[in-house]
Amino acid sequence: MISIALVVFLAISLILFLRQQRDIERRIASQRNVPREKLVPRHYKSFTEVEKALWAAVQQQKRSAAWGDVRFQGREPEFKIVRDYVHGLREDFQRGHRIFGQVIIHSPEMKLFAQLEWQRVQIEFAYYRWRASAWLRLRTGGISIDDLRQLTEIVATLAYRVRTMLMAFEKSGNLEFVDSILRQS
Amino acid sequence: MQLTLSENLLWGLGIGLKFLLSALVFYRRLYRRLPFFSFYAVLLVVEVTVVWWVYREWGYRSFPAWYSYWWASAVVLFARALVVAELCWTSLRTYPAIWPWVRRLLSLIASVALGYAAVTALRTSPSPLATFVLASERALEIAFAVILVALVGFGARYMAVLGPVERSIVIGLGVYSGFQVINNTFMQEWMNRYFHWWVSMRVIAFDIAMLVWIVPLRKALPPAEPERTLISESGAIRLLRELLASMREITEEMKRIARSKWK
Repeated sequence: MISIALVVFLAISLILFLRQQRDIERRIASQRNVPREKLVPRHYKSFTEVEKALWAAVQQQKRSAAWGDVRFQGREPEFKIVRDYVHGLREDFQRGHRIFGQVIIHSPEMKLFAQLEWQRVQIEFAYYRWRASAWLRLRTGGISIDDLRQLTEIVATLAYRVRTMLMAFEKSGNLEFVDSILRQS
Repeated sequence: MQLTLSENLLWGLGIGLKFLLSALVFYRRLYRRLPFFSFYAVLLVVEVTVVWWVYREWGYRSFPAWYSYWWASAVVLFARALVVAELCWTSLRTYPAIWPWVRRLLSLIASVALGYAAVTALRTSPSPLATFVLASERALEIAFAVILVALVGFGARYMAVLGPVERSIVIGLGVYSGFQVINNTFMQEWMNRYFHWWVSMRVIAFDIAMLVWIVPLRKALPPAEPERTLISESGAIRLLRELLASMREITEEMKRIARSKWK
């Protein structure tokens, strides 16, 4: 019976992985002619505009709480911008994470690859924890501007590291390599 | 004892599909891209023709039929193992750290499976050939299923997407291996009484696998993916070490933020 349970588990995994592969194929096809600057994390840069828009919405509602204590909920129509921004940050994170994956797979040494992959897994876990918390806060008590700032910091740090890494590859004459990574991610 | 009408029909359908698959493999020149799979497709035609002819000449339960069936099964199983290895090679060869490691792992799995089969066969004195093939099959089919799922999972994690033909081969082999694992588990106890059923079920599972392989071969093969752009080894090591340091900093930064904010 263990072998039957194993087969069921493998069948479910195979279906999930094949669906993921199909999604990857669609994404790669859709970004074939997309400009390069749109293939790196970029949503986090709009934090200032998002903050301004939220400030204006709060002023319209005449909320009396201090700016740092105001909580924004994704389901309130005027704060849809928060939900969209968090969604954009998620996209940024995933893109940066995929770029890292594309780079580390080219490691010539297994030990180095294992170390890089371990770091990637740790970042991934932290990200999923972050995502779960953000999701919960958006649906319950609401997310504050400080929370959004912290999330932006996380993604901006990752984006900065990604940019630095890609620039280092480009400076060492691997322009084609960087282009292929961005198109595949 | 001769084959029943339904068994004859099943064999007929299987033979038809094997000839069709083999013809399509050559018509689409798949042998340029996947030589072992093409060899396997040809071998299927040879195997089924020989076994069917022996069954017709000497009968289903004759001594030559018994021998030819188990020898053919062993050869086809070996060829299937080569196809799985070829799929791994075509998907992973461009990754300099991964492929040598996977190659060693595949060799280890094959050695363990064959070692297990040899020990099992030596312990069973009445029919060591059949026991060896069955034990190898039991071990290898589980290994094939795990390897193929791991290969697709690897592709999903590192954006190493399989081509349509390779994907259909993986699905077909995976379906057949999974089915065989279940079939072997159920029939292990009652093999002698239900041998006819066991054989018929595996023929049906294999026909399904062949249909999965035939579908993408109906159309012309898409052009091969361009080779991945690579970087020099020394440059890669230096840059990746820098990346490792960066990633460690990110991990620490994220842990710090998680500790301070998301308690």
